[in-house]
Amino acid sequence: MKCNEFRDLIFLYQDGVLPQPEMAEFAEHRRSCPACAGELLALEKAGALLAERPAVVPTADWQRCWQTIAAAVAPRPRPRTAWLAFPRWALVTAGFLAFFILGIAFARLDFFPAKARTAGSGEPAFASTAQDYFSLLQPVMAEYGNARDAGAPTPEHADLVRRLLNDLYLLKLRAENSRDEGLRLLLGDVELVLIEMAHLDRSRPEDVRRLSELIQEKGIPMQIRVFKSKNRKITQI
Amino acid sequence: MRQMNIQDENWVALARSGDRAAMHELYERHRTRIFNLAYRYVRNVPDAEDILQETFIKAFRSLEKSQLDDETYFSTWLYRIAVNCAMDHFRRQRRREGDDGWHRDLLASEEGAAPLSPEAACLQQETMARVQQVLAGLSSRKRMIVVLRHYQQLKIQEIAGLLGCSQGSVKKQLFQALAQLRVGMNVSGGGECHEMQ
Repeated sequence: MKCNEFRDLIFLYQDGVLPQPEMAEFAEHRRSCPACAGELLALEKAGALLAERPAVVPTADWQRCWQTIAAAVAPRPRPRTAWLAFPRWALVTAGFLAFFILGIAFARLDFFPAKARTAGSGEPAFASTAQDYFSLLQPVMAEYGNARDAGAPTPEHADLVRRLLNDLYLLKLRAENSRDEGLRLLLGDVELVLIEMAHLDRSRPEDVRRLSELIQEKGIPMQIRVFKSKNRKITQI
Repeated sequence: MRQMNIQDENWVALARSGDRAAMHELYERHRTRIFNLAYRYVRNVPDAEDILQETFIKAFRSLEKSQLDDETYFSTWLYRIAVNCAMDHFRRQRRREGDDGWHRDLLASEEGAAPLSPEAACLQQETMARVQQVLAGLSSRKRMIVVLRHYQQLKIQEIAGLLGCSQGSVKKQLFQALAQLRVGMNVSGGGECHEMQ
């Protein structure tokens, strides 16, 4: 056994956990190496110095310590916030009322969309007669066509066209029983034009051209004229 | 130390669910051992009581959060918490008061000794003062290793388990601590003095 191995085993030797073969080697080295024997002796002396300290350990104030511990680990009641402190029945009632009012609002929107939108929105209400309808149709189409070249966003105009289509379907239903065959045909043609408008790609001039041709073909009393003004195209109906 | 009283298991299970009586029972069972360790480490009763309280508070709070995997080793687990609390306390106090304050506490603590003859008492007091001076200069970890080894009579393997380090590391630090003590106390074994690197 070498000296460093001996020193490595000193504490295990003191613990009494050295296996027998190593214990014999340890004892042999201790006999043959005065330096290591001195090392072991010095360690034992140092340990003895520590052991000389009084072994008396005073007692603690166990009861007071336990009270501190118990207070620290006691479950703390969570403070209730003001709105939670409100009576529960009032919260439930308010919830029901809110649900009821919201339900009515959504129902009105779903079942009477046109009324809901026009009421107070400032937009013109669409007429239910053919004459009124056509008087409204022309400026809308003009606006739609002009907006094409201005590069304005289309959702509003597409919405207008869809609403015109809706009213047109109502008119067509009424015209079913009408003797005016010309009106029914005109409404059918206008429907085609409006459908085209609804799908109009305003970035493509050929779409506008096609729409113009369609209007002429159907004999609708309107014209779409496209001309250039400075750096942008203007469509006039 | 690892041979845990099996009955602890039941108390631990109850304490985990917040049972105050079970907590008190565990406190009664383990308080002396924890306090002894704390006292031998800090050498004064108020600080040792602080460590005792901190240890149990941490342990019970952790129990409720189910941080103890194996209830059988509650005793070892608690002891480990105590060791960490004591070392933290040591570091905090050293930061707050410096080495001098700590040293003063250690020297003032040897009050419970059995009565001796005046000469013996004087000699012992002088020796103890020198020992304490050396111990006060050790790091918190080395000091804990010395306490666990020489006052709590733990084996190297047990100390390594408590401190979460290798046996080699414990042996090395113990050698260094004892070497400091030998130098401080002018102790020699008659041969050439080795120091473990």
